[in-house]
Amino acid sequence: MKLANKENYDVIVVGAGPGGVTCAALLAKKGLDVLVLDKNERVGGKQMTASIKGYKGELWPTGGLPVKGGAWLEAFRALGIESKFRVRVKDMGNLYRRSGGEWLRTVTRMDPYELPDPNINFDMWEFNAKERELAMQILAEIALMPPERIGAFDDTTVREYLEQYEAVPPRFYGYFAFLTHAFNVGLIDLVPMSEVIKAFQRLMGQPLGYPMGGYGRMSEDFAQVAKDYGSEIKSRTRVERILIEDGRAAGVITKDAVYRAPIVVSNAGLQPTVLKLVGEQHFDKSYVSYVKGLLPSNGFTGCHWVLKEPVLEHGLYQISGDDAWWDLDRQDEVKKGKMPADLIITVLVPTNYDPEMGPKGKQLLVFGTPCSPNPADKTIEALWKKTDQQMAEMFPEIVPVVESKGPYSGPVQVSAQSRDQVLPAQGGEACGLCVTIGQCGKYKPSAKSPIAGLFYVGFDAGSTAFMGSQQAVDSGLKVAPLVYHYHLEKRQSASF
Amino acid sequence: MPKREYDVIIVGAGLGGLVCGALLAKWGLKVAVLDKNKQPGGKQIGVSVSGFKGEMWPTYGIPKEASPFGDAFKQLGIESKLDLIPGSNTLMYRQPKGKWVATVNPAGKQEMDATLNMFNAWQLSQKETELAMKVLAEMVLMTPEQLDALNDVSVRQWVAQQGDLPRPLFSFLAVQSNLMATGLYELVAIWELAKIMQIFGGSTNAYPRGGYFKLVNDIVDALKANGGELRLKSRVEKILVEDGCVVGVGTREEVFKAPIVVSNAGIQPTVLKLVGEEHFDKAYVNYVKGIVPSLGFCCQRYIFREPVMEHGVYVGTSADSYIDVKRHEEMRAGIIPPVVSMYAVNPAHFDPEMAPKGKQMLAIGTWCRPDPKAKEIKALQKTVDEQFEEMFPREAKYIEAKEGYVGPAQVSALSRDSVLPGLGGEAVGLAVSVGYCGRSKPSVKGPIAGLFYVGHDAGGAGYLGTHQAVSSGVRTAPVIRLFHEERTMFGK
Repeated sequence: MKLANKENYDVIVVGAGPGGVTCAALLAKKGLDVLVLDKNERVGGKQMTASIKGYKGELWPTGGLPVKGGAWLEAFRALGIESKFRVRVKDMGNLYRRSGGEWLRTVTRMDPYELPDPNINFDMWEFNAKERELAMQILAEIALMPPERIGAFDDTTVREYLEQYEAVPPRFYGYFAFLTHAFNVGLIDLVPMSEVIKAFQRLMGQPLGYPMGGYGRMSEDFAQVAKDYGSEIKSRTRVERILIEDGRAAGVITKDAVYRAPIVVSNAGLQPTVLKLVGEQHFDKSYVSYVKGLLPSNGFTGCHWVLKEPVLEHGLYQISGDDAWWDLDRQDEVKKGKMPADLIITVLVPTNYDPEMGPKGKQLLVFGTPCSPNPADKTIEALWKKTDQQMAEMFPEIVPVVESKGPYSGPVQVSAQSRDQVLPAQGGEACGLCVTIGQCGKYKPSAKSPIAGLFYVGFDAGSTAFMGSQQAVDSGLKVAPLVYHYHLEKRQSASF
Repeated sequence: MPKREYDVIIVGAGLGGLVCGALLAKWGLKVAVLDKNKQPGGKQIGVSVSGFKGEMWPTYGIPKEASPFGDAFKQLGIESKLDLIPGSNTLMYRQPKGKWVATVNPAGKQEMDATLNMFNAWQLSQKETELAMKVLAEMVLMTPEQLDALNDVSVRQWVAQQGDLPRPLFSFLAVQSNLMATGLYELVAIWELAKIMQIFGGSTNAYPRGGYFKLVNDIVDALKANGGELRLKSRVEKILVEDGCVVGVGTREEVFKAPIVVSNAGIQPTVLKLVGEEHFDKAYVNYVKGIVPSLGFCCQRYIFREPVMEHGVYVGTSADSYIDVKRHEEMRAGIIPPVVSMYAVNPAHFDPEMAPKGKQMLAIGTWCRPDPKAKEIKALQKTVDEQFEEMFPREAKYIEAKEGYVGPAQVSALSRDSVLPGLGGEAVGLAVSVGYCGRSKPSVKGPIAGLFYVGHDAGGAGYLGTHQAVSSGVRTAPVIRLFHEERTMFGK
């Protein structure tokens, strides 16, 4: 073990996911000397840009970037590179199948944006007048709820929220189960209503799109800002330990070097940070128990198909149905090997947004379905198979033009690319921990750890509701000022 | 070893400890206050030399209308002993070309004219004056709800939201963070500063007849009159904990038993030294180690052979005399700012008994790092001496003696033991910055049953140092009485 060439930094950020690079870039802009270390080849964490047979894109379908607001845009502004926030808007296709029926198709107009008419869904769901009235009432209540009331639903699951009403139609219940998946990658029985309402309100009022160059490019832009302000980004550098001295963060150890800094910001996930990188012995028992008890989000499986010619018209497809949504019971059934009739599937067509994402004239489809976050889960292959079957069934027109299929990815690949597995059945979360009651809203884990100078950034801590990478970036925006304040405190104190 | 038993033992006879002890004694609890010094009063120890009386550091600003001192004296039934004398004070501002301009506030309520005069001294344009008026008005007129929302906002962050402030106004707010909140504007919560300015601006500020030391003695008398004991020259070496509960304290010679120990010794020395880390959770120890100290203060006394100092209080600043994080670091490296913020109190202006007839004593000083080992103190004191001559060339000729040069090392010896590097010599205590004040102020209830904190570090709510200590005494006492009653009720 040798000391690194440069011994002392102000801040070391472990992990270059969207939260880590946002935080690093903001701190670098404030004049701090920042070092970012990441085990992967490129920055971006779960949304790293991958190159697949001449195509660029993420390993999992990631779409629905709000164009007019949201954490990504705020971060581009805060870093002074708003002109690089280039998002292309395309219409969204919605597919729905009633039990045993045909696939019904509708389109949500994004360009120009039109607020979707709820009656389109109600027709599809064959709601009668009374059901329509109730559904309208519930949707209006959610859309118009003032911010100060939303927090009251931190302790109410989506299921409990709907159970307040008499006779909520099963399809409407299924719709919320779908939203809970889509927004929070969680289950209707566990996710608090406050999270769903916040996401619903943010997404409803604006067009959604996909960033030119992909999500990974946005993280790369932030990393470039950090570099422009003099920070270092080291890829392919896995942090093995976070050093603690006298109850304070003191630096990190990689396989062949020691980097010292009085502040370490971990984007490696709350559980891997506490249980592996720092080590249980540095924390109180109650904190270790708390950290071990945090529930992961669901996982996501992803598949790539390359089409010889562009066949699909829209940018994003959301697919659901009477029999597609999951709750705890259905998840248990899948574990036992009983596959549901249909799957929730998200299909992203990156080349429709940005032709540069693939060779000219061809089309890339990135699609997938939620799954268990467990890297050891045995049902993933069955889900891949089922997803492929359902794709062929929904879009028969693409079958003759499929040029290649794969790579397929699931919790194993997610974990390898981002969160190290330190507890059984965890590591392959699609977005991170903390989408369930007791872990979000006012209960979200603090970004300030119980060890002085150790902070968390990313989906797990420090931010309030919204979808995965939005929440990670928001955490970066919120954690950077905390870290900066701590830096100032330490500069004042002579012990630094 | 003889054993003594009490309901409550208070470690440290600073103003917080004494007020808390006297109140508990008045409510019928058996109280002993132990202090390592020969005199009570903590940092507000009295100075009495050849007919001159006063404080070791310039101290001023008890609001006549409402103050923690008033509350405490009222609750102790000794209100009549609190005689507050208003006086005139002078803000002196060094303009960029080196000219010192004085703005005098006559005794009594602060007038708007004085603020306008101050703006004139700053050489503000009409437009800048309007902006300055607006910003100061906004601070002073904040409702309690608006204030509460600013718990976690630093002065610097708040200033950044106010647009492009004229340099003197920006400096004024940075200087006030040093002066009033005894901290750095990057860290001090605007909540603290606005609260101080509201109280200061809306009241008649005064100096107590007989000096602060007389107030200390009044409170000691009330403690004793209610059966409480004050034991001086009794340094507590250990707070004793058994089974997760406090059981008393040990000095070198004796054990004093009590199920309640209230520490006025500072939160860090209490946790890290008197009780010991091993009795706390790791996270709490880390939290305690990380609490931010206030600035220190270093000062001296001038004896005048004639009463040439006209006013009661003098504040001297410039657009460049504030200490921020960068300056704080530079001071560690021995770099002293060209102009320092200077603060002086002339006790005899208020109460002629404080000096031999026809003479005056001025306590004068400036802010510094709280490190008892700080090496730049002498240089700072020399700067104050030189700056005084520049500000008062005529009066300086009447100085008969300069004495009592003290700084963080002496503050620490007198009050807070240094248990962490760089800490101990804080002018007021810990916890003036974002994360450690307002609703984030450390709890007065320690995580060990029967352990409480009193003093500036815990329990008090915004306002100048001594006042936060007194306020903490007033607020902590009922919490302790309740704990005592709970114990009695369950027959423990």
